[in-house]
Amino acid sequence: MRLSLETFYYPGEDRPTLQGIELDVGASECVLVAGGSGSGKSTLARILAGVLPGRHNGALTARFEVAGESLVFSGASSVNPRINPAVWNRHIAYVGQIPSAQLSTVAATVAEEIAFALENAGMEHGLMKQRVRTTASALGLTELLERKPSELSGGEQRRMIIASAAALNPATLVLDEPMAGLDADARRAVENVIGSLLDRGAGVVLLSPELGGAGRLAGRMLLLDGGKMVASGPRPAVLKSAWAARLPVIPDPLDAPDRAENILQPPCPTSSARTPAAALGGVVYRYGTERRRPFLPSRKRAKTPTQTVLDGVDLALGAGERVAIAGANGAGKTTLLRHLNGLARPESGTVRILDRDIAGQSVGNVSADVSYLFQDPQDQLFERTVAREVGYGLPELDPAAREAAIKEALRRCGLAELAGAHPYELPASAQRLVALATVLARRPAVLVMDEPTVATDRDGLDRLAEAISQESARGAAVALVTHDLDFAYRHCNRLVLLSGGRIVADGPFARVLERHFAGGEAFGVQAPAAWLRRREP
Amino acid sequence: MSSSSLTLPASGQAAGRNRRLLEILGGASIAATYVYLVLAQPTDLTNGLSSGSTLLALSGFLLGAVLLIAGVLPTVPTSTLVLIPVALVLNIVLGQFIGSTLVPFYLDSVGTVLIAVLAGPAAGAATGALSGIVWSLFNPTVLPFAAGAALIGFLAGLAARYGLFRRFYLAPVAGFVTGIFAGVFSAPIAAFVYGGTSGIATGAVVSAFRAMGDSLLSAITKQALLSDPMDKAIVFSVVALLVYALPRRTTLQFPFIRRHRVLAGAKTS
Amino acid sequence: MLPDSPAGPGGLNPLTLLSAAVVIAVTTTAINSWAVSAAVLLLLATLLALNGLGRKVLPAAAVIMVPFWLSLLLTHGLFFHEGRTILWTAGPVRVTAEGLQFAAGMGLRTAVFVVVCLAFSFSVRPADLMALLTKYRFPPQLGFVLCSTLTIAPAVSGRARRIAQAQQSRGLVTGQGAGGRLRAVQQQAVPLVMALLHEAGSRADSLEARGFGGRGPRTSYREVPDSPAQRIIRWLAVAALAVFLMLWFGPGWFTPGGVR
Repeated sequence: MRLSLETFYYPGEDRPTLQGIELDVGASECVLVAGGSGSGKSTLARILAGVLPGRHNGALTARFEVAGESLVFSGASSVNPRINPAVWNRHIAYVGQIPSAQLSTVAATVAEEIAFALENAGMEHGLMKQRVRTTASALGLTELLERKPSELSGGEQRRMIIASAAALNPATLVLDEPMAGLDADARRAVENVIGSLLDRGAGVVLLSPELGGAGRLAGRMLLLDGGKMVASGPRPAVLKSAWAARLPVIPDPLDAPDRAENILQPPCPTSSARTPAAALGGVVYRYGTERRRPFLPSRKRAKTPTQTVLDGVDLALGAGERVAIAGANGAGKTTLLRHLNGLARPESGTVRILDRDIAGQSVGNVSADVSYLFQDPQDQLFERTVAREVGYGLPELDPAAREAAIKEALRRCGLAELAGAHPYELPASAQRLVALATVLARRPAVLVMDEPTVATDRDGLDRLAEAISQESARGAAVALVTHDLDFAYRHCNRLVLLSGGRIVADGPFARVLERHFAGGEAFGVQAPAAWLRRREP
Repeated sequence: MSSSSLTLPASGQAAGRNRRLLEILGGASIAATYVYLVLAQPTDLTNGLSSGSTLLALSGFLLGAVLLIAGVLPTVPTSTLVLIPVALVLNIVLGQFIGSTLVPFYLDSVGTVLIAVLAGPAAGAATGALSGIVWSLFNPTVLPFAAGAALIGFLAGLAARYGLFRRFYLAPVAGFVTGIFAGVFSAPIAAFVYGGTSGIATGAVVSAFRAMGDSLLSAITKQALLSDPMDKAIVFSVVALLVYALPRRTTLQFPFIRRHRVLAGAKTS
Repeated sequence: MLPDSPAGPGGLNPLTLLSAAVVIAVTTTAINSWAVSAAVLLLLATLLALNGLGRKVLPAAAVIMVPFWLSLLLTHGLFFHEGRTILWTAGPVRVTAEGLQFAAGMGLRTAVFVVVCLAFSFSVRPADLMALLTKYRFPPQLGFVLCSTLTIAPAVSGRARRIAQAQQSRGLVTGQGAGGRLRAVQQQAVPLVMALLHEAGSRADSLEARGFGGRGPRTSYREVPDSPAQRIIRWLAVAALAVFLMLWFGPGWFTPGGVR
């Protein structure tokens, strides 16, 4: 497969979203397309998938060479070929970013989801059964075949969707950020899947802001910046080029030792106040203790057996502390965070914020002191401009002070020029920054963040790191749940490990690492690469 | 290049004609059933209701709805198709919620009108018909109103097509007019199939008219004319609010919106 | 019809169930007598209770039917001025035997229809329906809409809940009572619709990239249980229904007023 792309414009826009891209992929070859958020990766992925320009009616000037045919698109003229997706996907298959949004929603089992493309291709039944089996076993999905797609974890869903795209044995697979939001185990599983695809002879185009991880499978890579290809070639050569350092891509922690070596742990806060900013005391929480309203009257909810999520958690967050909370999926990290602003209520135990018990207080009232940054930015953006978004729910202030607070928060997140933009039209990383700005504008005493580094490019990570250090310097307690210990190691001074709903380790970051991570991994969490390297003689 | 197996040939004419035929047959079936019902009700409804008319109403409307769906759905692009389930969920959730309160409105067509505004009258009509059919899996009493819901979707699409969503104050007016049609259309169905309405609040309005001496059909029609226009005016306003809150890149990806300049303000966001 | 419904009772094909449902609903509507409807209703309730479906179907039917009956009682029980046999009167209110009979006839007839339809929905899996529609060459889009609506419904309510939580976390205090709930619904509607449209866009890409909506014939991975016996029963049921309708209504079916 080979693509020479001159330009691509979305309708009604006078600047091209993509221009000057040369991409070719051979059998068993992995090509990494790296770039920061908003660099045009997803648009490129969808052009490769054959769904653009058809869907958006954008103007594409490009030449494709696929399966011995060549297709020429010449801008806005009306004689452009119309791609037949039902045939295209036998040559080039595509997997988009958010796994839950990729589900066909018509499959009752994983096997049917994998068979979806085969059904659409009209494959004969016996052959189809066999193909599903071989694909599943090649990609390590055999145990999942009878499960329900909507009940899989994010990583399992991603592997299933990749299998579904791969079932037709396409020559090339296009994977858009296949690692976003996955923990260490799931990342490894997806990496194995990509490795198996390459072994089977498929070419893979990987689009990601990360240079490491699955990117290490790539022999060649290209760098995108503002929709332009700025570098391409063998991976080691491109990594050394000036562009790799300048673009907001996330460096491979294993590739960049000299940068990582001079990491200093942030200092511990000196003035520890007598009462903590937030404290959990003996918190126990089980699923099923809260009654949910059924969605439709006729729908009977399956009764889930009560399952202990938090099993006696004691945790105090001091003013100015920066605490990282880590653990395997299902360890109860997010549930713990949700107790801090009252979104979850303990079955027994207490939650105190600024020495005040919040039992009986509404979440809206607790929010005056506690700000919560959710994992998915799209769940927390509701307004039609970025400025209004940041102003939403700000405590009553006089208009001038309010305006100033909004401006300051936007400036700190590098969004000053985007104040009038629609939050949904921003790239993923900028959406995360908008969500961060809404939290910063409130100047909370306690700031809790759920996986703030996911889907964030390097520029976003730098802003986030700065915000964490400024907030803690101001005296706020900062707690973040993360699987990215490389980031946490650099910017937090305390590490809390959760496993099975209990705190199994808690203390200064380096000490917890020394005590538990001698083997490089503990409780489903991988030790930071920088720390591991520093340990080596 | 058109011989390439990777690309689609110019759209097939014969297939298109068959689909049009299905649409026309569907519309005709619904219209004929309605005309029959209105003409065939000289025997007073309450004087031993004719079960033949009931069955005929049910089957005629259902057949029409199914033909419409079969004609329209295959022509709907995938990007619009995936919105239809979302619209149906909105319809059903809001409809069930409002139905459980004591408000004499329905608000069960927000999703249908939304699709009609984004994708045009045909998609709107199909969505309305589908909404009735899918909702009837939870609440079978709405099944006979599928044809009425299709009419609402169609009229909403026409309103959008002729620019009534370009001015914010025109949307409720268009909704009001749509509501008059919808009310007149659905009243005989309620009368012939159920002999009344299914909600307590609407039932109270009907009995008030009955107390004043109206016949059942005219009481139900008057109730529908009280509820429906207000209801649709609210729904159209809600949808106008929604579509103007959407990012432009989202709305502009719909060819119907681009071609007929459905929404005002080329530069506002 | 719910994503987690059990397989059809006794391995019955959904079409067999559908034809049974149609036969029962159409005959009771045609006969249109409250006594017959009541008898059928009783029979159905017993059958469903024995089958184990009753625990799901009957409460769901009650939720729909109770307000409907109350509405009928209000309309026809109290104000039925065509009635001759007056049982009780006070001001404009006139309770007549004919009115009560009319309400009972309509109410019971509709109850049979509702119970039969719900019994069908509760015993069919959406994925089976999709497979059947594929088998009989219906447009795949129809199966998609039916199936997808039922599978995304829980996801939509989950997202609505997350949006409400995010808004509360940013200082939104929702009031109590119906007014407060309505205001909360209004606050959530815009972000919910935006998020759903956005997700639908990604879904469209994913479906298209896997060849959905192509022009070629489609096949199905899922196999739906069926047997020649069931096929014969289905045809017999439909034929019997047609004969019954012809005999019941006679040749004067189409002439206005000529119906019974």
